[in-house]
Amino acid sequence: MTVTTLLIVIIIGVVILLWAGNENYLHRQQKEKELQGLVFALSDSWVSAIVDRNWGQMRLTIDILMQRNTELVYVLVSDSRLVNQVVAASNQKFLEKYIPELVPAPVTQKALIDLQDTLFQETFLLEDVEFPRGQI
Amino acid sequence: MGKFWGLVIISCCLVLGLANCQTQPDAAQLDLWQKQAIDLNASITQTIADQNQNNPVQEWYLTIHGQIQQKSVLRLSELQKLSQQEIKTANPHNTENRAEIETLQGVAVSQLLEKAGVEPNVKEVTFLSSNNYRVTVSLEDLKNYPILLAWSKNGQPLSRSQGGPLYLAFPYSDYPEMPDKYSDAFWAFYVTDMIVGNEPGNIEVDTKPFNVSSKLFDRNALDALPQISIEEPIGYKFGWPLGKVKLTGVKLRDIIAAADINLSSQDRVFIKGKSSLSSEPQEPVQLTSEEVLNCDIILATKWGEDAVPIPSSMGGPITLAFANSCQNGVILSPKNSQHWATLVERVEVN
Repeated sequence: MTVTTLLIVIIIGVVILLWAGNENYLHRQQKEKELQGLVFALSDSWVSAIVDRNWGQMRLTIDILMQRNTELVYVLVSDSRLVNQVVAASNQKFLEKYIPELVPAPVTQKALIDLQDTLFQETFLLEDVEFPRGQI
Repeated sequence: MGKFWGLVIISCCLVLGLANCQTQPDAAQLDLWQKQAIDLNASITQTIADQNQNNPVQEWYLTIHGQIQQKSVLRLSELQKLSQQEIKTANPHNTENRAEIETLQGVAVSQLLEKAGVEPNVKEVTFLSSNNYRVTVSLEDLKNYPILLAWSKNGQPLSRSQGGPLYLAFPYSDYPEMPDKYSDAFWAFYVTDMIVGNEPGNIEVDTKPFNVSSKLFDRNALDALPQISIEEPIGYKFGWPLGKVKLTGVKLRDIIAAADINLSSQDRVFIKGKSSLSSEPQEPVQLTSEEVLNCDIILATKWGEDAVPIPSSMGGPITLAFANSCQNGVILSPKNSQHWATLVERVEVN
């Protein structure tokens, strides 16, 4: 009887584990698609701001985007004309840096490669990020 | 038998569980990665600083023109030598904390106006940004309120993303009526020009080799050329009524011909203004000779049914406009037809 119960519990556990893994995968895919759409939309809407070097306006947009989407942890925009210097950022601490110390350097370097598509990278944050300030 | 199957399933679970495990870096590893990033950033910063030693970054300029005694061009460093003023105010562009009182340092616009010597009938001053954005403020308010062209915030130079190097700032906190008069859209970023009142409107037409035989058309010379009126939905980004507006001016091809320049099929016509019109010096408004010769592209000097001069507040005195009509099957490139430009000063044929 005990063995049968244990067997049932284990089977249910395995099913839940597989289901959770699958759900996690689907959720992640959905989030990636959402982000991809967001990145494309931002790229399009920022074309004139980038040409104009209108970093002030871009900073305002990023701040509002961050305030309304709590799933975003940080947004950094770099300009290849300025050797990939960060020109607009939330958190502003990373402004004007070339390699922000927020994620490992190879992750930044890979993100700076010119690509025609969105690049997804999984990484670790190297320090706490707080937005808006004083909320944590 | 049951125990056997139980063990099999537990083993499977362990394998699955372990497969889902991820290696988590420890604190030492995170610190090492952060140090590597900081070191790499420092190294790139130093390399670029070394390169810039031989090629210094161009200094920021403020040009004051319009109805004043004499046009003046001031370097940022020269502005900073003038008597400095400070305002403590909430900043509508501080999106993290709009209530925070910032200390902004800069030069009072009233001081610059006094130095420039404003003509008596002037009512307003237009501030132009490097991205061709502009705002217009009443002269009376500029004289009565400590409205600043700020270059530092809380003792630190204003970065570009904060609106620097020169940022038009209004004393919101000390004068509660100010936000109603001048919304956050008036806090202009990266100011390059101050146009006092209006300008008469001159246009220089030049071809290679430049600055050798350029021809300057003043307002009278422009008015003497054949005038054309178009009525089109306005393509200027802001400061104009919506919908179709009547614009009167000179065809671009007529003014080029009046400057004794014959356009060849390879020529390109560049339109330039106070700020680089597409805001990127490498990407000025450029038209093909085919477009110039076959499309009604005009340099407008008047607007509306009454054909009144275009004021600085609307990007006048001379603006670039496109009629939706071309001959000989020529079609304006979509990029060019969107380049309705304001504050036009120069036409270059290259």
